[in-house]
Amino acid sequence: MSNNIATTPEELISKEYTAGFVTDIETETLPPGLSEEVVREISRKKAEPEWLTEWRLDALRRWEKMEEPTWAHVKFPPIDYQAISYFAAPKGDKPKSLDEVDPELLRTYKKLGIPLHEQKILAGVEEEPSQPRVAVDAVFDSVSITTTFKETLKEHGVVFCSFSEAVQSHPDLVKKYLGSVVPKTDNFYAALNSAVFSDGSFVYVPKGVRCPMELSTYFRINAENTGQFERTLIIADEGSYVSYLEGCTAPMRDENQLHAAVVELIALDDAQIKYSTVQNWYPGDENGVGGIYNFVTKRGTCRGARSHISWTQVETGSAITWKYPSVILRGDDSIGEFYSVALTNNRQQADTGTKMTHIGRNTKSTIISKGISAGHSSNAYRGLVRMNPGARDARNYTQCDSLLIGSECAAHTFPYIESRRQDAIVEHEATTTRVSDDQLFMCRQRGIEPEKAVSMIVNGFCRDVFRELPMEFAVEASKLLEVSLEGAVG
Amino acid sequence: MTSQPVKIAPWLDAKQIEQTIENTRLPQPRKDPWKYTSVKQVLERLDNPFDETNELPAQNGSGVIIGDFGAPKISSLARKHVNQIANNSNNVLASLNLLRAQRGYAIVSSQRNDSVCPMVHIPASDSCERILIIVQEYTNLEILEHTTGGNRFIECLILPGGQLVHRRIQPVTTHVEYNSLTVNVMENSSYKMMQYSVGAQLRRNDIVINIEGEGARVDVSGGWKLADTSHLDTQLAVNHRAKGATSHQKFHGVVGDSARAIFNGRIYIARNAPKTDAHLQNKNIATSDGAAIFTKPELEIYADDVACSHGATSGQLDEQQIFYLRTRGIPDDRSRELILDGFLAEIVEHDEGASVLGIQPRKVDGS
Amino acid sequence: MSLLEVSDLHVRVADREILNGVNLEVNPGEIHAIMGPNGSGKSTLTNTIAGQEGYIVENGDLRLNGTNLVELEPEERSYAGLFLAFQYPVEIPGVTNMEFLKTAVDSHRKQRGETALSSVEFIKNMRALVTKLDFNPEFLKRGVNESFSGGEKKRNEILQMLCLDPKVALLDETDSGLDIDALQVVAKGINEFRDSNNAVVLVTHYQRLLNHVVPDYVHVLLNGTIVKSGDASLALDLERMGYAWLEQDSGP
Repeated sequence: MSNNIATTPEELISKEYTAGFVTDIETETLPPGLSEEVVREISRKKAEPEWLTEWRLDALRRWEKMEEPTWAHVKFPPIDYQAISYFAAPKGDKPKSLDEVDPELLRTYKKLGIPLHEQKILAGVEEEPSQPRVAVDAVFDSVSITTTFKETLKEHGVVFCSFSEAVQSHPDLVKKYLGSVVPKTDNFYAALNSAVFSDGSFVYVPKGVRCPMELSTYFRINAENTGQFERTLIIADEGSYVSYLEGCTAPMRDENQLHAAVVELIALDDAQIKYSTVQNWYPGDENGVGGIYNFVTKRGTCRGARSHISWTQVETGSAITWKYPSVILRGDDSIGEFYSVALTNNRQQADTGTKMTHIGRNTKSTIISKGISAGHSSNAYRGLVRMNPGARDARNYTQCDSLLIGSECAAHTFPYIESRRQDAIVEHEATTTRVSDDQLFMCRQRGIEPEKAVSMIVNGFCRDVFRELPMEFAVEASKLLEVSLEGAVG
Repeated sequence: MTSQPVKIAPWLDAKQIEQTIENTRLPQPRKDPWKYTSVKQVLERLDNPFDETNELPAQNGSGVIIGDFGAPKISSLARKHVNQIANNSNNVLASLNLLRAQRGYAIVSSQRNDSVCPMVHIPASDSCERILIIVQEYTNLEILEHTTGGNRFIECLILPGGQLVHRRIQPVTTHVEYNSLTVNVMENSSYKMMQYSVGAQLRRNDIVINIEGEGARVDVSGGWKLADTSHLDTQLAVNHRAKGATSHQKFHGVVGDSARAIFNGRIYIARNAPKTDAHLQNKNIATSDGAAIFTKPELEIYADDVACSHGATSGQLDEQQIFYLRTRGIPDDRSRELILDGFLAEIVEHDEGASVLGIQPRKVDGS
Repeated sequence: MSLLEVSDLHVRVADREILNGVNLEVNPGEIHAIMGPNGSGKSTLTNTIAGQEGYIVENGDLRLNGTNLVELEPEERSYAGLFLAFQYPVEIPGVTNMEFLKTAVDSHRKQRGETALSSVEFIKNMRALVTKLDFNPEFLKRGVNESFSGGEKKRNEILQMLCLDPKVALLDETDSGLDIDALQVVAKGINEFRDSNNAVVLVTHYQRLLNHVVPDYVHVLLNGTIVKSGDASLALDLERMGYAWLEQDSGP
């Protein structure tokens, strides 16, 4: 029943950016600047093998020759890459168990509502059938603090750990797949990430295994003047299934912070990966001061026949979003999906969308994008659907809707369609609407206050995407929209 | 520096225009808006000599003045508007056209729009031309234009209450052809354009329509049927800069053999253009595996009180439709032809358009 | 005290004066019908009472149960007990009927200091109501008026009326565009709703709804004022003779 969405607005007491606090903790930070030495130092801190250090250095050298992309519909002052610190971690060795984790950190995650204690839930006290268990990898600045339910997952053969740990424990898998979907030099930010990536999550689901619980990573930026450069790699072996969630927050600060992540997904024959993001990086204040630059490369490859990758994203945070979660449909009969809600308010800018590259026969992709612009913000959908000559009977359907709230915002749609195949079918539709006076009046006549009416209408507009989110995320996403729309109704 | 007059527009200084060209960045190959068409080939075409120019256009009926930019009734209008209607300060291709053009002439309407509409035929030519069209207040005009392999820049201004119907026929040519059209549409005026295209080695049509007055109405439709290795690139931008205007764009294309069809349709709605009603549709059918279709319908919207949509499709003939026709006894080949003809007929409103596309025109009354 | 009191109401829309001195008094238990040709000001009257933006009260008074409505926001008028069944019900894509109704009912309950109904309880109530009205329960799961037929939209208005249980229901041409079956369902809903404590104001063009819902009073609105009032037989006269004879009576 969907009415849990409609009732959530009332449950929401505070409408501030609630995740905007700073954790007071001693941090070990590399001095600002980027050089071979810095890259070597990061690699050394993580005790990486020689090949990976070289891989990073190669990326750095190539990055130095690259130029920042300028085609996106966003504006920002030049970034001084030498003023950023590329590594920050809480002091001390990595805790071996939760008991060794700094209590201040535990308090932080509690405050954010992220469960790091698996025992309680395991005891069955709080467990409800409607609330499936979620395994969490908690990444704090450049390092992973802890990963829950590792043992339970291990029983099923599922590997879920921090990326740094995977480099040590599963070097062959890392070596085989790292950079296989997003090459080092794919783009400026991906190259930067390849040189300096810190921590992230690693998932391997073996053949025929249906991962018994949702996996999630929670990214937290805390330290000042640092960038966040996580790297996530998910491999779903033949016939396996995994649903992965990603959340992110950051303190409210007046300066912009860079987040340049790379996510690579690999689905082999008959495998399915469902990747959901609720992105709530600090968006800056109402005058556009501060906030995260979210310049992220996410791509999955449906390598095997009948494999299936879906991206679902709810983007409400960040000062600037530059993000195109994509699928390369290589395997015959494979399926790629992209469901997106992107909301911008105040001075936020988003240029987001997807690329669906159809290579295999009978491949199918669906794109549902809902952009909501309010305040003085700018929201662009940018997409590419490419049907290669071998993509016999491939199909794409794209629905791309924009909702404008207020007369100072902007909404754009830039969908590229490239078809080199006669029997491939591509359909693209886009509409632009606003919350109409008639809709508002009818709601108010029925006794619904304007703010609530707008949030209800916006939720309705996003329904097709929320349907794709795991239950608990759908509720959170709906709440986030409400918070993000604060002040948008005149 | 001594000045040197532009041949077709002696009041302009060629040296200065050359200077501008030197200081302006050339269009970048493989980047929008030249992502799929070789700008190099177009520049080369502009560098090579063109054929001698034709006669002035023929006119059918009175109510229109046609003459070179220097002609007595034209020159003051030409001075005022040539290179002004299109904002060409940074457009290298427009500047080159101005320098190379062998002929520049204007067509000015003077017939009240409650009387019979005069018709002007702009003939095909392989030359380099600059044309100015002025539709004066509350007058009407119909243009029939043929293009083959030349370089033609048209600047058009439709003054308040004016009405222009513009039919553009683009038959087969083996040349590289580049056309640029800019139309400024003032309040309560209307512009209706139909463009019918078949093959060319390379044919590029840039169309910019600026809606500068309230309540204006713009209808643009087009069809193409491409075979062999022909290459057609249509870049359409409709800029709504005044409120309460309507624009409808509809393009259907059939692409066969190893032909390439490129369509970019952009609707821009400025903040001061609320109550805009703008829609764009582009549908493509590929009839061979070598055919390539690149389409991008764009929206760029800065006003909230608008009704705006676009759509694009690319696909092949519907096998169900073919089957249906065959069960009625129509052979496979003929079924395909019929369906393709019907698909193109949806946008064809003119006999000559139909004949260039090789289809039977659809009668308005449905008979 | 009368439930709805409209006195000397003058209303302007943009720079046109549409209503010039409407008087209407509706008491508990009564059904009133307001009839009149197109453009006579019927919808202006209902929209003004409900507080639609752009309808400017130049003069006069609007009271519901003694409360002055003129300065109130639309939702406050709703809380005061006013319901408007829209002539053209608005679509809200993606928002289910159930969700919409629950949000509305909860807002009303909150106003009255009551707690929100649990989802289970609410769904139970709605199911019962839907069954009573012979509606398809699927109705509740669909988006508000989203791809509803004309008849379905009007039925949905009646459902909302019963759900919110107002003091005064204004029904703006709820009968227009209905086939005979739908008309009967709508009439059934209105008769289900009415009791001795509330009142119904039907705005209509035609007599036919009035065969099923018999009004106590019929008013004729012409050129922005009520030119004639009578009992149900007046509606029959209008059906037979049209409005022209009244136009002459009231002549400018």
